[in-house]
This record gives sequence, structure tokens and C-alpha cells, in this order.
Amino acid sequence: MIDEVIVYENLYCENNEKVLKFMAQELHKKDFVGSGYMDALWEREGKYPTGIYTGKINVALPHADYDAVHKSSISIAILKDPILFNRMDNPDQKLEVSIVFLLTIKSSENHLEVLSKLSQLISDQDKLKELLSCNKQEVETLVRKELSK
Amino acid sequence: MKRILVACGNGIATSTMVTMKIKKALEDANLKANFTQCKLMEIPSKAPGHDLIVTTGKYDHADFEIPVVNAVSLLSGIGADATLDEILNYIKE
Repeated sequence: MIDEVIVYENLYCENNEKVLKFMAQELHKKDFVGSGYMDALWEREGKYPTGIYTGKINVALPHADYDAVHKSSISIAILKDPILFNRMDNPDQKLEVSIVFLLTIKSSENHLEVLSKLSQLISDQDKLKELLSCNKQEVETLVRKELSK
Repeated sequence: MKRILVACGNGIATSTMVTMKIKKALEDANLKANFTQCKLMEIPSKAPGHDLIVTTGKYDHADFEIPVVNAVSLLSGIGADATLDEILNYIKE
């Protein structure tokens, strides 16, 4: 189970590097991850980008290959304006991403269910559209509901 | 039984999502297969003995004898049915 759901509403950042570094820094402030997490996340995004073309509202699913995760969590950033991410299936191409889902997973835990629910959520354009019109609290409620279905 | 290697960047997150979707489709079609997950960079060492490789990230597979299917559609939903059909066809063979 993922206990921690962190939401950023109307987040403005210049580019994907700033988005990811901001989100990683917040996780570190809460001590959910170790100090090397931010660099690991950005390095990984460069090697294996996580932008996914899902239709109108595209998403990114960043996550780091990093051991010092103290708490499993999902951070969701609803971006003020879409930001370019490289595509997972074609790293040479960029696409405009509106919502970022950042996962931290403690390696000792099993998250099959959560991952499965999250993949259902990101392939559902109606739900993503709903997320874009939600406030912070509503996003958290909706995501918690979807992940625990 | 066919053996499928599912790979993503870290061998944990998106490969799990994709594996679960394929397993569900296999169940619905009354088929079975063995699954292994790995990192994209581990494919060359893990691939031998597998019948099919499924990836979420890009994998250049020149000179590779095992078929490779990109399954990002199983994450995005766009073209998911066609990808599942393709994978199921390999498993039925």
C-alpha cells in the first residue's frame, strides 16, 4: 500500500529537470528518500525517459533506480502549463506532459496492486481530465480512491 | 510453456504494470506463460532461453533472434489491444 500521496496543484516550472528536482527535493525534506535521490532521479530520466503519450493529456512516470527510499509514496504534479518530456518508447522525441506521477517504492514492499491501478488511471483520459480540473484535496482523494479500488 | 522477458528501465515499475496486463489478457484467453522481469540493460544477458521480449522503453535489437515487442501502449491505453494481440500470437505459436 502507498500511504503517502503528495499533490502539487498548478505547478509552474521552466522545464522537466526543474519539475523533477523540485519534487525530489520535497521528498527529501520529508525524509522519504535519501540525499542522493534527486540526482538518481534526473540521471535515470536522461537514460530512460518516462513521458507517455496517452492522447490529449499526456503523463510522465518518473522514478529512480535508488535504494535509499524510506517511504513508499506517490507525488502528483498537475502542471500549470504542459512541459516537454522525452518519450519512453522513443527517447529522441519529446511530448507535452500535463501531469507527472512520481513514485517512490521501498524495495522490500510489494506494490503490484498499486502499480496496476496506477497504470489503469493513466490510460483513462476521462480520469486524467478530471484530475486537471481538481484542487489539491480533490486530486488526493481521487488518486487514493483509484489506487485502492 | 513460453517464456517472456519483460524489461523496463529499472526492472520494477513499468515492467510490473505491463506484466500484469499481459497476465490478465492471457487469463482471459485461457493461456499461460512464464514471466521474468529485468532492466533494459540486462536484456542481452537475460534473454537466452526466452521466447519473447517485451519492453516499455526503447530497445535496439539489431541481430537479435528473439522477437521484441514494445508495449508502452499497455501503459498509455492507445493501441493496447493490438499490442496484446501481437503478444498473444507469439505465445500461441
